[in-house]
Formats: sequence, structure tokens, C-alpha cells
Amino acid sequence: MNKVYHYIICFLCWLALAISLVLVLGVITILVVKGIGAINVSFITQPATNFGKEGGVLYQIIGSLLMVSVAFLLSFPIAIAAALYKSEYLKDEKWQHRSDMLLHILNGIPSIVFGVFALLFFINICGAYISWWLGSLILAIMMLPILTFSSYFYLQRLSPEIRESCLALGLTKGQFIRSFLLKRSFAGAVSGSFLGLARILGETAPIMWVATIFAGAGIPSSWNEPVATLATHILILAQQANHPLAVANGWGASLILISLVFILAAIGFAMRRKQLQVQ
Amino acid sequence: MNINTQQLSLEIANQTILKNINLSFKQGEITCIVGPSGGGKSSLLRSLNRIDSDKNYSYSGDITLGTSSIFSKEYSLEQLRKHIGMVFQKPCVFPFSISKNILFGVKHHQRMTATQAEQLVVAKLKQVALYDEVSDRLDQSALELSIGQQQRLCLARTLAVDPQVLLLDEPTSALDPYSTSALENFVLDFKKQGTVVFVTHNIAQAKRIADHVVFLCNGEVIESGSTQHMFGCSATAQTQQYLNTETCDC
Repeated sequence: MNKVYHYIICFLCWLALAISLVLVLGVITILVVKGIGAINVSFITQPATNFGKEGGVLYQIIGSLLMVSVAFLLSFPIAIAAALYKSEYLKDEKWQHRSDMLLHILNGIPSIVFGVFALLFFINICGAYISWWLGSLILAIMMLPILTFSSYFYLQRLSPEIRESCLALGLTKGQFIRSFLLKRSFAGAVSGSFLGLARILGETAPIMWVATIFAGAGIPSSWNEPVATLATHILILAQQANHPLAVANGWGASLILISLVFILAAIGFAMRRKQLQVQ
Repeated sequence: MNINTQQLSLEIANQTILKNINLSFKQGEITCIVGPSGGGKSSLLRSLNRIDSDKNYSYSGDITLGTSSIFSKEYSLEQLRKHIGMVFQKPCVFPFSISKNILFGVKHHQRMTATQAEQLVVAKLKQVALYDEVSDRLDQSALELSIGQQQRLCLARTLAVDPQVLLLDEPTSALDPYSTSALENFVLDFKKQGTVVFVTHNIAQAKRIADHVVFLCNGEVIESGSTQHMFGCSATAQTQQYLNTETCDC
């Protein structure tokens, strides 16, 4: 009976895995088949015209990369500091639990809520302009939990013997943090950040009201200018689904977006695996 | 420098680990602490340099280094641990080169030129009889060394900080006979300039190197005295039984 039960569980697990893989592979296959025709050098190197029905996605690629890069720069030091604080100074178990819970909640907040919050608070109340830095700020907040957890995870894997050996040599806590933990939390946050970047790169909801406009955006020349992004550009093209050129470019832009996400995620996983091997 | 414990007791999570320990670890002597597992040997050793200071352990009584209490403001934790070096049971080299491992601790305490650093590395490796084995690969990772070599490297790293007291927590338990012998020879040499407290399960080793033996069981000192006394005419039956058979009914 136990054996039958074991086989049923195994079968169900394999089935769940197969369904997940088929779905992912299916989406990727459709994107490649439909999108590859639209992609050529001019599609990547030229700006969009006629609401995206003609031209390429140059400004959208630049806008997306600009926003996620600045988001990364904003959240990276905060994530490292948060992970170090959690690991070294937050000794109370209650507060450890609470901080974990808060980070999980922050990670689970629907992206549209971030968008609404940014619109109401920064634009309506604070009077900020629709600008790319505001989008970066919101995306930085969104990726903060994943970076913090990734960094904290690496710190927790440091063997207690190393900690003891350092302290036994008369190092202060600060010296120990500088000598060992900072580099380690840095490595953790770097590998986590690629996964975080992959997540926020495709976000539309949190930025569409505060950082992007649907047409006319180029390369920003100041802080207070909006940008075009791949995610919002795909949304615009999808809204013109009755026009074959818009649909073709939509598939092409989607393929570029998913390729960027895939590359960042692959780098993140490779770095994480390499770090674990080193340990 | 002498270390003395006065009425030292230790409680962890309402459990008594050490009870009224009154001991004197004298300069120029090797004191071996022996006893069954869980008897409090390592806890006593770890109390001497307050390595568990960030844990919620409850101490009573006092420990003095020289004439000052180690709990007083005279010693910061860092100063205390600089004076009282410690080598653990399991060798723990840092994922750096051999040279960098030795210089790791001392560089946090004093500035030195490249020449001084180089000389220090050679001197400390020679002191623990490791130099001849690694002289051609000082810039290679310390993780590539054997366990015995790693333990001697840990010892050299501790010595580089120039401690006056050396605490060794079963440092030879995982070592081959050559490394064990090298470490014992070093300890016998070191006692001329400092104080050594050595926790061991190996009764023969205690007999070989100790000047003074402490028998600790269930957190209490059952008996302590010179090696000759302890192995020749110990006063309690428990001590005789443990030193002869390595078993204990206490």
C-alpha cells in the first residue's frame, strides 16, 4: 500500500513539474515563433514611430535598463545594511520574526498597489513630476525584499567556526563585519539582484502612472522626465491588436523583454550556484 | 600571566554548567583539563576569554587575569582575547592564502611593513613546525592544506597576535600522530613564555605534557593537582577510576 502511495505521489509531483515546464516552454516557444520575424538590427537600434507600429524599440530598451539599473543602485546598499543588521544586531527572536514577516509582506504586495501609492503620494501629495527616477524608486522598493533575503541567506551560511575564530583573534564586531560579512553579503546581494532585476524589468503597473508616458518619450535629459519602457510599450501595442504591424512589433518587443529577463535570471542563478560551490 | 577563577559558576538556560570553580592556571605551566564529555571542560575554557559573551549566559564568581577581573572595564573583549589566544577542536582556516591567514588577526591590531609581515609569517610558521612543509606555497589557499597542517596554521595565526595565555580545546583530536607531536612540542616550548590551558580527552597526552591536571565532572572540579600527584596518588576514587579507565561514575 505504501509503495502504491509512493508511486502516486511521485507521479503527481512529476505531473506538476511537467505542467509547469510545458507552460513556460509553451510561452517561450510562442514568443520566439511569433516575435523572431520582427527582430532585426533596425528594430533594436531605431526609436518607435506611429505609436509603435513602425520603427524599433531603442528608447524602450534604454528606458527599461536605465530604470532598473538605478533601482538596483538604490536598493543594493539598503539591502546589504538590512541583511547585516538582521544577521548581527537583531538578536531578539520576536523582532527577527517580525522583520521576516514585513519583508515577505513587502514582497507580496501586488505591483498595482505600488503604482497607486506612488501616484497618490509622490505625484498628488508631494507634487513630483512623472519621471523615471520615481519609477526607479518604486522598483527599488519592490526588489528590496529579494535582495535582502538573498544577502541574509549568504550571511547565515557563514560557519560559526569562522565567526568564533575571528573573535578569538581579538577582532571587534565591526572588524569582523568589514573583513568577512560585508564581502559575503555583497556576493549574496549581487546574485539576488539579478533575480530581482529580472522580476522588476517586466513590471508595468507600478510605473505606468508615475514614470512613463505612452508616446513621445525619448532618452531623458534630466531627472524629471518620463521614459518609455518595454513593458508599457507592449501594453500600448497590445491595445492596437487590430493592426497587424502593431501586433508583430508587440511580439518582437515581448521577445526582447523575455530575453533580457532570461539573461538576468540566468546570470543570477549561475552566480548563486557558483557561490554555493565556493562555500 | 596567571589566570584564577574564584567561585566561578555558569548557568545556561537555567541549567548549571559550572559549579563554584576555584582554579589557578599559572604562568610557565601547562594545565590539562580532563573529564568525561559534557562535564564542562570546554565551557570552562570558553569562559576564560569570554568567547560566548554575546550569548545569554549567566556567570557568577570571578575570573582574574593577572590582578584584574576579566569582567572589569580594564579589559575590553578585544584586548582580553588578544591576551588570551584560543585554538579550537576543529581547525578553521580562512579562505585566504597561508600568509594572509597568519596576518589576518595581527593586522587588525598593529600596522606593519611588508618586510615585517613577511618575517612574522616565516617566524610563526617555524614556531609551529609548518614552515618546511609550506615554504614554497605561502600564497596558495590555506584550504588546500591537510587537517593537521590547517590546525598548525590556526595555531600560528593565534600566535601572531602574541598572546600571553593559550587556550587549546582538544586541538589534537582530529590530527595525525606527526601533527599531534608537532603541536605538543610547540606547547611544551610555549609554556616557557606563557600560560597554557589544554582541554583533552586523551589521558596519555595529559600525562605527557601537563604540569598540572584538573579533573572536571558534571561541572565540578573533582580534583586538581600536579601531574605526578594526579597520576600517582590521587585522592578520590573517581579521579583514579577516570585516569585509569577513562570511565566515570560521578
